[in-house]
Amino acid sequence: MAHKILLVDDSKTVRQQVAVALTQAGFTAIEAGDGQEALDQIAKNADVRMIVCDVNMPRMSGLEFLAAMKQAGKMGNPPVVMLTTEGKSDVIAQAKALGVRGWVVKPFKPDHLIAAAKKLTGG
Amino acid sequence: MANSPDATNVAGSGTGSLTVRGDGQASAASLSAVKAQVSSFHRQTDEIFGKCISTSEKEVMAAGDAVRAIYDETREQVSAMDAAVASLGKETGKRSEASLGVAMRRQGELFANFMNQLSKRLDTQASVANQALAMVAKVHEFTKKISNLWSSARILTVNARIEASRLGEQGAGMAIIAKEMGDFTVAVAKANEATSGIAQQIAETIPSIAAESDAMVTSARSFSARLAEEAGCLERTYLEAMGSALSALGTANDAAKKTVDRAQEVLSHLQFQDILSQALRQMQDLTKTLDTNVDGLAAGRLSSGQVAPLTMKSVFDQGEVAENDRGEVQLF
Repeated sequence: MAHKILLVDDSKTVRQQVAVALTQAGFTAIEAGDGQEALDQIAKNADVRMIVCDVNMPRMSGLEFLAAMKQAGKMGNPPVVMLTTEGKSDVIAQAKALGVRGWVVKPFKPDHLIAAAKKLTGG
Repeated sequence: MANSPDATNVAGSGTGSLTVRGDGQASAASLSAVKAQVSSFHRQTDEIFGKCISTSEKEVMAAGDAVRAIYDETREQVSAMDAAVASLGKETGKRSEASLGVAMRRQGELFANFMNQLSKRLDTQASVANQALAMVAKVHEFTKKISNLWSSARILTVNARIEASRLGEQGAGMAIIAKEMGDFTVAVAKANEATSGIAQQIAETIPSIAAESDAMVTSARSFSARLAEEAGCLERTYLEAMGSALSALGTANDAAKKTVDRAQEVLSHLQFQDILSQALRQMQDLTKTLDTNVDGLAAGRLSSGQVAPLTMKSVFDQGEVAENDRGEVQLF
């Protein structure tokens, strides 16, 4: 059975591209437009194996989402990889402190993202 | 509009300048006008920015669909090429089998000819050998005859002695013996002649047998060489055909790979659409802030020193990430 990955980004095009790359590699992709939607999706999909999340999003940013996950005791399972335009070290350090497992500065390279997904999901 | 030394000019949009007194108080009418202008500005920009965001998203989505189509088409082309090469491989194999059949038939004919020639040579050799054996037998025969003749000659000699002891009474006996001795000499001479002739023929026959054997060996070697040459030609033809097919496949694969790489490049550019969205969203927020500021100023809730600063975070500031490191996944 294909592993499920949650894609969190306010940009539909980014979600589309990541979804195409991951589904071609055999994963199933579900989507959320911001941090709040992502929390809702996680509540509805207990079988999410990995989360790919943007930082700058309206309503609830990526860092705020990480903080909410940590507060709910869900940080680390599933693992979260940030896919973002942000590359500043203080932001990365903040995310690491919240338990994020990986960081990708856009534009992403499909092969690298797929390799990371396979490693983190065991698939 | 009146200008006073402690006033600040604030440019409006098409209705002249607004004068705000240094203590933050402005005329109610002026502020109302500004508020109206800014609100109008805010509505317009909101509409424009909203359109920008939705239009850019739509266009980029369409571009994404087009690129995905390139992906799919390229994959189909590669599959078709794979099928074509597989088919070519089968055809080449068939042709090579047919060529092999023709070559083998040709080689079979050559072999049959060779064997026929060999058989003839062997027959000739057998014939020559039989002739030689016959000659040898004749030589034996002549030897026997000569031996018999010698025995006869000894008997004749004995008889001649006996006859000679009776000489004086019957001399005719001696004449007969002399004649028989003479005939014997002739016979021995003929036998010698025949024997030496046979010996010569045997002497001449043996080299011809050797020559035939040499010719057979030479012919066999020539046939082997030709067989090896034809097999080599066949293999070369097959390898040339497969080499051409593989070269064509390699070219097609390279072209397809380049197309895929270009498509990937386009997709990576499309990922910057969300940067545009972020920028436009920030500008929307800025106009809201501006609106709040002016509203606060107009209502007297804010003084000039209390207005919220209009700052925009640069969405293009990606920190210390080098160009080559973008897209790399850092795992912690």
